Amino acid sequence: MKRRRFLSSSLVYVILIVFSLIILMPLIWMTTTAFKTKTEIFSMPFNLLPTKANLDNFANAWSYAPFSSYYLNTVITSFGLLAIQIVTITMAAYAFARLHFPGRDFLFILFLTQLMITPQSTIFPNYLTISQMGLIDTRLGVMLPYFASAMGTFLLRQAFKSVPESLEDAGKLDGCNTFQLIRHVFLPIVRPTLIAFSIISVTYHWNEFLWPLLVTETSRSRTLTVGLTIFAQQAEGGAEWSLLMAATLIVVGPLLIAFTVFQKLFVQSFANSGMKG
Amino acid sequence: MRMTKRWRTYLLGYLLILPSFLFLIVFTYYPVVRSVWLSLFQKVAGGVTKFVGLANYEYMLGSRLFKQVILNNLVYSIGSVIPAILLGLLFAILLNKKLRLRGAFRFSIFYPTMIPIAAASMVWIFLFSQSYGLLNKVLDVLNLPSNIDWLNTTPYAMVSIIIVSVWKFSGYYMLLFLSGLQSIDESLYEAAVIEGANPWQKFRKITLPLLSPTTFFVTLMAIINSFQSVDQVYVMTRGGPYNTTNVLLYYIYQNGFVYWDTGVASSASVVLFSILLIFTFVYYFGLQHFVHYER
Repeated sequence: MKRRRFLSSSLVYVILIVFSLIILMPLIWMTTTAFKTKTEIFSMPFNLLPTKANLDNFANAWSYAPFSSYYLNTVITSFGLLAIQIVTITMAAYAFARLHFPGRDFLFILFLTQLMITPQSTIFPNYLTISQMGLIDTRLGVMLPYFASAMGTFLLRQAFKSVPESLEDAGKLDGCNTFQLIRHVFLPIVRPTLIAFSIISVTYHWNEFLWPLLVTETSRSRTLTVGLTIFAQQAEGGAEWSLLMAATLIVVGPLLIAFTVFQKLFVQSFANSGMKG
Repeated sequence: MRMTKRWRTYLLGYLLILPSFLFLIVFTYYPVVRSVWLSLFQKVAGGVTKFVGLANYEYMLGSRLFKQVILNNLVYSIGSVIPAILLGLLFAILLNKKLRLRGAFRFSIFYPTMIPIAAASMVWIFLFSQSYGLLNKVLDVLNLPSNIDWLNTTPYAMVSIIIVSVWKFSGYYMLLFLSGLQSIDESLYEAAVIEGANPWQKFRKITLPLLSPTTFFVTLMAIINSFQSVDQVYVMTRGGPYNTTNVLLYYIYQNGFVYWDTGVASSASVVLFSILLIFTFVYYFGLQHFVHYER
């Protein structure tokens, strides 16, 4: 009996170790290659680790392409968008959770239909709209279609509904107006929901590719993921793998570090997002 | 006095939802209407557009390429959804126990969720490379055919696209299955042990049935994802070789932004939109059903 249990638990470890290594392989490969010299990559016999860590590839990648602009654009679009989304979803969620007005429930259902109309299926008409607004190759053009978020409104409405009536009344007695009430009573209580929404929103927009690829044209608005593929197209001929892997690491680094440090928070946010839409 | 206060609440309510609503109208509802509208027109010489009814759809459905695109998308969806879900379920079951290194395993399986597919595809191009890619090296060590040109031959290009998708999503599905598993009452298993059930029976009779709502949602989510995540097609194969990895969203991209064929791009958008609408509708309808069921 004991022996069997030992066998089955070792089997669990073997399966997990094998799959973990396979899934980790791209990360390991990217990281080790990024520190290698060009000749080391093709050297025989093959070494996984670079003989010595050199940072030239990072310096070169950074100087060959305007990664600092790409960084700035990505930070502004993902965090700027988040700031705007928090304002729009807070306003709407409060109205749907706490106010009574004619047509409220119908309007809420209409809101939720956004969850069914995925952004990818509307890239073409939205591109035409952004282009008619004269917003091609601007950061605003990248962000604009996402200003309203049904998912965020939905999550926050649920959270607002759980705020006790008595707290709201106490706030009103203290002479808070609606905006002060939201700011000082509601938002502090729903912080976990706000953090979860923020993590998901920033991750999604930091990693987004197709939409910014279409809307951006120069380094004025281009984001990291798009900049990286442009960089790769230019470097392709020479098979500059170490350079390319360094550039890729520059792009994926921040989120990966954030995830490593706040693993629990990220995992919880993603676990809760799925079932709630 | 009372009346004015009530009206003020109404007004406040409408004002608070107004900004969100404006953006929804311009960037969610209007584009749908516009796609349908534009799909009825065709560009003719001289930059003029002409009403053609359903001719764009007829052209598309009759074209060999479109049929292939739909077929490719089916292969991609089925080929990526099934392994990603099975692996996600396997990882969740294995990681639901107290284990040493659980955090490390969870990190290694879940981290692809944090990495943009476009960037990951760069690394995968390298891994898939014919002469010095890791994959062929491993196949060589295992004495298997190892001179495969993964991204430029059929069916390997599609297999590569699928591998990237499974790599990207199985960790996310694992997480969703894990929260499903954690909601199963522990006492059920204890009762089963007393009744003398073996691990397989416990899995078949308790885990699987009680996990079925989660399985339902994860499956639908995976299907929806498979119609939306095509970044690796753009980066790795550009739909090639010979359109064997050309899927619906990429076809829209091609017609809309490479050939500038507004009519066909719009018709294809309507098709994609309808497919996604069906699956998302089932998803949210089911969600409501199951949520009520659980309460």
